[in-house]
Amino acid sequence: MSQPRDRWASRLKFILAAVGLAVGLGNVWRFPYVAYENGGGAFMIPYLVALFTAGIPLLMLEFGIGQRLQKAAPQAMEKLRPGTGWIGWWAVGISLVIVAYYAVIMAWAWNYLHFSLTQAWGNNANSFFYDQYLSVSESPGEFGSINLPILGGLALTWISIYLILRKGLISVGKVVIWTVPLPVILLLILVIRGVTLDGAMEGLSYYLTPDLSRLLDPEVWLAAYGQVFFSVGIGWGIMIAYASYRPGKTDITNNAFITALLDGGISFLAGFAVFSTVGYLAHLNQVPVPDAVQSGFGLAFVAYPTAISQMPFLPAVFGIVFFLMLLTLGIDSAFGMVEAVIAAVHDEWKISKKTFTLFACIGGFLLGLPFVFDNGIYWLDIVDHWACAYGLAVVGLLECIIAGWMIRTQEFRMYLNAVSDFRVGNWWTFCIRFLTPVILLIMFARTLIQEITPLYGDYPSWSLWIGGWGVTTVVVLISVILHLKSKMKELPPLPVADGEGLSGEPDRNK
Amino acid sequence: MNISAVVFAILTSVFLYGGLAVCIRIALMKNRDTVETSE
Repeated sequence: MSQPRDRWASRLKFILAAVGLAVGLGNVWRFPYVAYENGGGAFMIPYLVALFTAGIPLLMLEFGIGQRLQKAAPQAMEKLRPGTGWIGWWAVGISLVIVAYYAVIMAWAWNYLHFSLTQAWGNNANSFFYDQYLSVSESPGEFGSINLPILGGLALTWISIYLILRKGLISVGKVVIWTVPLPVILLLILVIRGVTLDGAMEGLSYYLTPDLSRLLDPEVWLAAYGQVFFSVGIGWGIMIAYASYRPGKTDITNNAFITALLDGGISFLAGFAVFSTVGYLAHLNQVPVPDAVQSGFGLAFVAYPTAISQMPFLPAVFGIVFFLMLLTLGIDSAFGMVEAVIAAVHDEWKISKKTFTLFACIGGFLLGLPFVFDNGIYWLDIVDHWACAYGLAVVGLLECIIAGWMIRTQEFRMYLNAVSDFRVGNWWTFCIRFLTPVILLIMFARTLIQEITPLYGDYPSWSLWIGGWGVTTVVVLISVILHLKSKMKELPPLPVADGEGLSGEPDRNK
Repeated sequence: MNISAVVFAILTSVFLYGGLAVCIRIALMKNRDTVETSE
């Protein structure tokens, strides 16, 4: 006898979980830099356009698929359009690959939380991070030795993920009430501290001064769509899984708006914390702001620690605030990715979630081990690039093609409108059918061309074949095998093709 | 900081945070599925 499906205790908890998933490290270390590089304040125009024409429509699509079909990504895709379950497995595989290295970055944050007490990075945070802490080897082929502090941090991260997920939605619901608002509060503390530092206004000028001429540059628009697409958490299969724990007849469109606007709002706020601090750093060292600004690891583990050391008042406290913010931002995304895997396996084989959670966390920990060696940062960079550029983008593109061209899209829109707080018009159909897939296709083609000449990141080609194309191929192959295996014990087909599948009563608790 | 930077910051805030406030208000007004239980 099938058990009733787990449910979120309230709409608020679902929204918090979705926001926690969307808002991650990229909101702090990527958005401000992308905005600065692409026209400053003027970048907000393409960013908002991208949010409303790609981010929100795709979120509605994923929420709608999960909520309507009451299944995790692979099973929901298969029900939506028979033969497409492998795309769901691919999305789940990408989540598993991403969380493997994402947990390693969180391990760094755990270690840096500890280092903040004494500002262990001293006067040269750059050398400390790359030479002392990571002791980065010369090339991807030189493994070196295992880094024990990172291994400890990795274990701590996976223990945290296990403890959060072990009681399913009950524990997740209790955790997100704290872990979603907390980083926003910490971010506000950093903004207030940042804007009161010398040189802050100079830094903020670089972040916000609009260069309207950049709006004519197609690269700026692609950057905006790329930022939105990779930030709101679509293409990972998690939003589908999370939405499948909502009853079929509850809001979709408003939840998508709230999730996307919160994601954008937190990114925008993070820019104030980052650029005010970078302005302070530039002021202290008497260098132009563009020389001090960095993104990614460089911002979080080099530029920010440098600024923290030189803060005139309680540097240790602000160091703890910053790295605690990174950890609380990251943990929601990390356990969300694991939940996508657990939900898919549970829905496919009915394995007890409790048992599989332990197995998944141990497996995730083991998958992260290659990134703990001295050459880990190289592999992390390669796998991250491929997972995002070829994984998430292609899954998003395929979802748009299926929803826009292979099912009755208007009926899907009618379903969204029937259950939601407010209705969406034909613009949603236009975005899903034409606009978003065309932009994703252009992004994909452009990345592919850039890949060929020169090679990504100047890494040796063999390392790109293993960490990039190799990992991508393995994930796709496993997805197809899982899909074929599940086809063997098939399921009667859902009447999507004859039009009943997306307009009738939601088949909850199946 | 120049005036155009301030104007763009205000406009972006209005769109993002104002839009969010409107959506939350609609959700609170409709408030039709706050009692979905099963914890």
